[in-house]
Amino acid sequence: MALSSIPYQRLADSPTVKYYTDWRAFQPYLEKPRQPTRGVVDKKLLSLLGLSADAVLGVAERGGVAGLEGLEADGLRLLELHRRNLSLARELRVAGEYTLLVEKPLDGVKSSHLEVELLDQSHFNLLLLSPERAGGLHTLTVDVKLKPGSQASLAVFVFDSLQAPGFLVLHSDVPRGASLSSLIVVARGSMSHVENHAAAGEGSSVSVCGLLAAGPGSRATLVTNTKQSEPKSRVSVDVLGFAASGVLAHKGLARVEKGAWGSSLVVRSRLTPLTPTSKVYAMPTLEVTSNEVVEAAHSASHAPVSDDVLFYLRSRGLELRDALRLVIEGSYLAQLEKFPRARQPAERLIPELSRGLLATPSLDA
Amino acid sequence: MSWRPIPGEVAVEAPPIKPKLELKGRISRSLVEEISRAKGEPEWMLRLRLRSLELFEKLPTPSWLTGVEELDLEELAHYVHPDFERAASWEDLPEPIRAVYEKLGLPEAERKALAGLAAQLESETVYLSFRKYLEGRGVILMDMGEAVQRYPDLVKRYFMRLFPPSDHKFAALHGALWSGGVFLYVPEGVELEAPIEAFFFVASDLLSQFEHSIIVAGDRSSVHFIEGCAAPMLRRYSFHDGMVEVYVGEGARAKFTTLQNWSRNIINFNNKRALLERGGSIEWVEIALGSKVTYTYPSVILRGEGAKASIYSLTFARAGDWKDTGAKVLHLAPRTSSEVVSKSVSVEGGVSVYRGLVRVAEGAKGSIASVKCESLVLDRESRAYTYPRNEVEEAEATVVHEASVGRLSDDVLFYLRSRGLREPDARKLVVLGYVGDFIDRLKDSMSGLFLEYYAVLKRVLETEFEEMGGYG
Repeated sequence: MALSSIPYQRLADSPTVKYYTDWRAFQPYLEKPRQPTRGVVDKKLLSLLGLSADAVLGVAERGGVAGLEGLEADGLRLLELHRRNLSLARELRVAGEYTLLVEKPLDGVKSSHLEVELLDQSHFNLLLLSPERAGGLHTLTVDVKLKPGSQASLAVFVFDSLQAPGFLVLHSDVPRGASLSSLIVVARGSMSHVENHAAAGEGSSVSVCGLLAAGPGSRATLVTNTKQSEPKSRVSVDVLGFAASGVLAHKGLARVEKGAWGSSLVVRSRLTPLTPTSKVYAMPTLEVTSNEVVEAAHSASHAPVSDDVLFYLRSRGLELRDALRLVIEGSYLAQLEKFPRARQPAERLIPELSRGLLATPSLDA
Repeated sequence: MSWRPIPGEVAVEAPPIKPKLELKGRISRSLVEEISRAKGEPEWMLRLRLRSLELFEKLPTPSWLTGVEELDLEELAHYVHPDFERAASWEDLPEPIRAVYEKLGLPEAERKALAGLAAQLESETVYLSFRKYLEGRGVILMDMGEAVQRYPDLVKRYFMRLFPPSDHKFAALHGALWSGGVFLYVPEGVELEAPIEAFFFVASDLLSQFEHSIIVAGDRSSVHFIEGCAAPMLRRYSFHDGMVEVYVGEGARAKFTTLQNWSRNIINFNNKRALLERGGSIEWVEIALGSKVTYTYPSVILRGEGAKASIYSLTFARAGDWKDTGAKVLHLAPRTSSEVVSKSVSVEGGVSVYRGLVRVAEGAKGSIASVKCESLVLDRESRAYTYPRNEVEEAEATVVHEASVGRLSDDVLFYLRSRGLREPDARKLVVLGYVGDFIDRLKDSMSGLFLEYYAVLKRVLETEFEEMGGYG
């Protein structure tokens, strides 16, 4: 079947499945898929993070895909492209802390798949740090597994190209009694589409935090889908984002199925447009299929930075940009408390996030 | 008090309807022309119908619709004109028909609380009356078909301008086959002290009803419009695809209250939209108790600066029901505000869905929107889905959305039982508490004579929700 005959998203005419992703950004890569050329990373960002990569998922590498032919494409165009183009697969078993750096092709399309097993008390850093001008597309799918009763954390940092889109899909299976905390930072990219799907088992805990920033020329969609079908699981999703002449979207489906008695879930989305040309979209959806859930709630808010707060800071002698910087960085930092192992690199990146946001001249308007 | 303002399927039996004209079967150009000819319409309306038919044939059926599998448009009667003339006095209606309306309590409601009343049976308005002094103030209340003939230029300015047939397949179907509904025009500066009600009754199975109502509230006017719907329990099913367009002028105030209590084998689509100019306000109350399947999302376009909308909806889903409701608000001008409050109760496997949209366009500075959805799921088989969308393209706007899905709290039930209440009584009390603030809110929107109407409505709603709470 031709890729062009497969939809980008299911039930395209349903108002409930709109993603706000600009799928047109991916179209050139589907129409004329080329072999990926040299892989690149933004070394300045890597050094800023203060992390050293334990391994690199290179564009030139191939292999490991045997047995993955049946990878689920879900009837969607980008996943089907990913399935057909898959040339690299890796299995990782993470104990302690592990950092993987993913290269971005300068041109062409690279598709990779990771199977990651997180052992108890492990932490996994996934870095997609593209230079601003890389022109290729790296589609990446990651399956994360934990052992029952284990605790682990995951930090994903996406700084994509301003010339090319990015596509990352994470699937986590959190079994009985396990706990997974995921921090997802998406801070730059002409069209970054990042999905995080998590299934919570009995007595498990899933915590997802998304920090989004869209400065001039950036557009990002974060999808946070969670599913609970077993008893006494806890799900918490918090997404915080600022857009300054950029576009942000958060689509978060939280589904609680029959059998999830005593479970709870909370989804919060807070996206703030900072300039007149910014756009923010939020769809925190709930599907609850029985009365067994203890708590199921979501909230979304979009509001300008409080005039009172800005006035207070400016009355202390701060310029507008400095006052905004304090508010933005403070808001991001407050989200990091639940992620002690990702806190240090994330803290180092936050000034970079606010710098990108405050670079827009329309803040002066 | 004997009358019920929102009668349910148990309240009435289907009156015998002998049609003067019945058009059924395949939806074709000749069927559309026949309806238009029967209604003696001008050329522009026939053209609108035919353009709608073309769109209906071209537009895809939304693939996300659920619960409409049995809907077969070809087996339905699309136009049924009962075999008697429209009356302006209840005595002039045939006795069996009058008996139905008396059972529904409409004559008494009209006498005690309403400024005007239109009653539609199948495809035509069979009763229409309103206070004579209002005519002198320039108010027009008329069957829509008659308004098309008598005020063609006025009607043409509004008819499907706000909700065009190109919007979706069933809006196009409505445009092709509409019949009935009312045209209410309130001139500038005129304030209606009492509400106007339109009541829609489906008496037969395998019928489709497509009433079209337009409410025009001139600048600085005020109007309260009530829409009631009912049907007896039918042998098979019937289909309702109505449309309402509300135009609210500068500084005008409109209230629109829907009390939908179709019998539980009606497939109910409703297309409702309002356009507000500078300083205008609308309060939309949507109570969906009946029907098997409902898809309705009152929409408000805040086009003028400072315009304000409130949309309150209460939905009730029982076994086999799919109640897909919600609200859409578009903020297009500065300092506009909106509030959406949605409550639902699902029981015996019923499904309640909230689908909503808040869009704040660039330039709508200082606008504020708030959405609150609450769903109560009473048993393991029932479901509640919430699909909101917030689209904010203006930095100086505030949009807040919150939703929660809950169950009957074990602690609260335990507390009530420890005070000596039996479990069913405790459940009833909790459900009643859940909808109590909504019912109280209705009171705020009703005044004067209409408080009597409210008292009865409150009792009916309390009875319905007590029954729900007592389940299980």
